[in-house]
Amino acid sequence: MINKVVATAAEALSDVQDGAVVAVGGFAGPGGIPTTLIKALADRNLRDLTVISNDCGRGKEFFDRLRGEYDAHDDVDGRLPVPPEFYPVGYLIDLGQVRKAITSFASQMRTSARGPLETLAEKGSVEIELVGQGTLAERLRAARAGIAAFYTPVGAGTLTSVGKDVRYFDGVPHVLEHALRPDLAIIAAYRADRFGNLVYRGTARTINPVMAGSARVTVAEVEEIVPLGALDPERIVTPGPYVDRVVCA
Amino acid sequence: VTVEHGRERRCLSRKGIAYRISREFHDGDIVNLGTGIPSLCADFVDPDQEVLLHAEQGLLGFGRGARTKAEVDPCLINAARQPVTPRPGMCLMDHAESFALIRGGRIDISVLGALQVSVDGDLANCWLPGAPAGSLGGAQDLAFRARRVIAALPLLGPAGRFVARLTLTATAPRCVGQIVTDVAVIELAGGAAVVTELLDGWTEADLRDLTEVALTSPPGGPARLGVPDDRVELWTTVRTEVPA
Repeated sequence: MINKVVATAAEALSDVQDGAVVAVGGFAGPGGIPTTLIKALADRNLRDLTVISNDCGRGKEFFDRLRGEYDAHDDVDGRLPVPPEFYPVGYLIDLGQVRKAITSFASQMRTSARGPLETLAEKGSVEIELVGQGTLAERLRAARAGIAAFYTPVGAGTLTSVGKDVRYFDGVPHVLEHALRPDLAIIAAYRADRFGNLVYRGTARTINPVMAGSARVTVAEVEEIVPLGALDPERIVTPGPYVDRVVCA
Repeated sequence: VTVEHGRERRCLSRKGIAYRISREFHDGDIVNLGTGIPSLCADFVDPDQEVLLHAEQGLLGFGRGARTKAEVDPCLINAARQPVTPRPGMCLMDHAESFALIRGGRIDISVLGALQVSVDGDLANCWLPGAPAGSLGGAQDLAFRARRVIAALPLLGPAGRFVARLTLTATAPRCVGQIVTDVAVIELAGGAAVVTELLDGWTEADLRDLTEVALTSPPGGPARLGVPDDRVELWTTVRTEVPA
């Protein structure tokens, strides 16, 4: 019998070690960010983690502020609700558990205030590998698909191609990018069954299905675990074999 | 210096720039909207046109921004983390697929915010000057691979945004084809900057005070930059303070 369901997030992450390379799902958020798993990982109080995530530029305080702004206004005007207890990947950075970040967003892009990652980078206590979003996604997808590296036209001749192999295809320079294979991927989805099949909701899908299966171990948190057969096979986005453990958020 | 210091006059607001950019979208276009001013374009798309708006995290064909809390779905947001509304024909995809769409050349127009643009169309929008880290987001994928890049670039305010040569780190070389500013629309081609539209109340000489770039204009001069006069949200006023 196949059963990937684990009782708690703490149990699902009990074997993560200091120095682990951890991919964390989500984009912009809060939907799609595995906040339960991030909190459980932070509670392990590990050291020297490498995190791979779309947006490492913003810490918990940023989302607390967003929540306050949404709640304080009757109209919307571009504001987004944030759940009461919400831990973004930046929370691990806030706590000083991260040694290296591989990410598309390292800066808040504000001259007025620096984010937690920028502050640490300024002190030299964290390493940053800045990767464009398309390349980040493709490097993870390549890892899952058993592809070692690929050439992309994006970034040729800019800072992001420095030190990388460049080859011309059809007269256009392409940059060699390597697959990114984390030790652990923690992702968020809407529903799962005990085989680890996953479906997503709306824009909370983002990079989660790309990270699934990229790592040696993939842990998914979901809103609901449903009986086998309840998910429409036509609608399953992440096939079960890419997922090792499932917890209910 | 021909711009009169300390005099208030009308220029386009952030929404006004977004409105003018949205006039570039045509039926059938696939348009990616970046964060900042570009994300505001969604509210000005002509509802009679089938313009497919793309958000890089994997949403294609969405509508205007949510206006009331009843319209907010936390799982339907744009790339700027703002709730948007669905439209018939909308579809979802994951991040890898979304960037396959971009890298594969399916985006007709990419609208990007910019820190600095050069007359050659070089774009800087990922590294703030002096910052210890940057944010690439999807800007590099879009700037390299979209068929056409429009930059939203206010010229009133901090100087040095439209330049002969970038002083900031480049996101991508030679990609921007058009800049829409708070007073003019400028086309970039072959190393020339042509002022095609100018706001009422502003002269080409005024514009030359706002950039070091040698500007040209089409025969007969720039057209009038047309934005509805009665929509107050599209306008703001500026007290011009141009360094001598």
